[in-house]
Amino acid sequence: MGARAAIGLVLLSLCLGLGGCDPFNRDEFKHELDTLHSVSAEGGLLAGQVVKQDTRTAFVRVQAGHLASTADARAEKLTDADVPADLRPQVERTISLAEEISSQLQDLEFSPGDASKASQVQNKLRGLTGAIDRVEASL
Amino acid sequence: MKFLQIALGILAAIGGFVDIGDLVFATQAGSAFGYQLIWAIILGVIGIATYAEMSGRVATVTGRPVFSVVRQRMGFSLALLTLVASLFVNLLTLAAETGGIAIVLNLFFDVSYQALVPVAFVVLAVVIWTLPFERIERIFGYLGLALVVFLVAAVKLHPNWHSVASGAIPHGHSSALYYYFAVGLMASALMPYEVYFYSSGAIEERWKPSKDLGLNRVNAVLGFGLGGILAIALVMTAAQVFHPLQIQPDSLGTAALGPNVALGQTGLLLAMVGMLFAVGGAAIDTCFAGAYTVAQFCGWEWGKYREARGAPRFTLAWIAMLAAGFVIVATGIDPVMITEYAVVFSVVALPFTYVPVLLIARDKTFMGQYANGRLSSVLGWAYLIVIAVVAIAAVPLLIVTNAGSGL
Repeated sequence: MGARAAIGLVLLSLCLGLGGCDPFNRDEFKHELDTLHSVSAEGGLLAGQVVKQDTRTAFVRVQAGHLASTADARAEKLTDADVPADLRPQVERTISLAEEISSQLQDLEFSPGDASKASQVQNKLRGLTGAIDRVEASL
Repeated sequence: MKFLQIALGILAAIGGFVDIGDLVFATQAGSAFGYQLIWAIILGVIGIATYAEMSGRVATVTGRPVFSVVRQRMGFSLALLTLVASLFVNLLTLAAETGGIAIVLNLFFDVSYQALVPVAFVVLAVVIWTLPFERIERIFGYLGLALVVFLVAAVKLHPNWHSVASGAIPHGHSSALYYYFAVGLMASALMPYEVYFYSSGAIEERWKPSKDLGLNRVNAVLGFGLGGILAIALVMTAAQVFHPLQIQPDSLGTAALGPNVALGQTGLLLAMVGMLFAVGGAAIDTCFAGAYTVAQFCGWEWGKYREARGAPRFTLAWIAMLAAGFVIVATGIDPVMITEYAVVFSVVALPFTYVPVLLIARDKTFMGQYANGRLSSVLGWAYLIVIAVVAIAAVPLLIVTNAGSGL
């Protein structure tokens, strides 16, 4: 790689890195919503396996814990974001949805063998996935 | 008996083909784009089979592995650059694979990941120290074959075969993310450590031109080819389980969920066993590959078959690789993220590895009657063009897609 190309690459990386300091924008918000949709949908799939009693409890505990911490991280990021006024209602709604998703996944994490609880979690996560989609559609 | 030996070698190669890079990129690609990126795996697999066959042939005929050839053909400075680049990528890959072992053990036993990382490194060190080369290759290769469960899952889920066939034909897309995954899938098939390991393995197993060149060809074509089918099965499973729900897999656990949904608890168990031995085998391959490249560059005695006393600096080199890999994983960086960077950066090192292999494999003064035929030459040159394009595109795509996050 030539010196100019290397410098260009470094400058581009810096610009992209500094881009993170800008106020929270619609694309970033959409990305967070996509992540939360994914976490909630995967949690629902995992809960479905517990309902069928056709999985391993250690796997469910670890995976549900991982998904819950991802939802928590998204909620934290949204809480800390410098949100423009026109996005604030949707972001606030999304924070509460993320916290609810995390709470459902924690239920699954702490009762990984309980089919009836998993069934409730599955239904709630299905509703939460739909709610996330509605927020995204409103953008 | 000979047939059985060949069959066992092929089975080990199939089981050893998939590593954490394939698991991550194939699952993510299938989730994001359905079957559309199957062509990238096919392209990568033909490339690795072509170059693995060449490197195995060069090693068998000249008695010299790839890195020794790299130094001879490219001179000290370029060879040193290749050594540094390949060591960097090998180290990242080793760290990612070993972190992957800890992740899968965590899924099995729900013991803290941080506690399992040192366990994974100690187990690897004991396995490498105590077992002979061939047994390591076979054990990890055969148990890695449990990944066939992804193929069973993909078929059981009743894929749309017309869409699968369409995905096997290269086509464009408007999304940069699509090209990022295409590059990732090709690169994870073409990782340089595979040819370093494969060609050094030919010398470890003392292949002879008179009887083993057929075995080399069969191993490279069938072993890597059928291994590629496992990678396609990963895409197909993700395309059917995760794509309709718009799930974005970001962990090895999500990959294992596919066979769980399709085949229940048995599917989950087999997927985890396959993943454990696939990433474990790849960790050993990368550890050896790093030690091979250093030893071959410096002209040290090398080879597992020489035992520690016969090749002390080589032994120190693989121990140092493991120790450095441990330091990287111990920092707490997510192995999946390390994998993505390792795969993309390996692309930049690809031309430095593959150009000298092609040049020497076609050189009649070195290879005599075993020099490249027309097919090997055409495929070799064609793939150099593909590799050059992919190498130029890799880093910009990594930046534009924010390492595949799509933001």
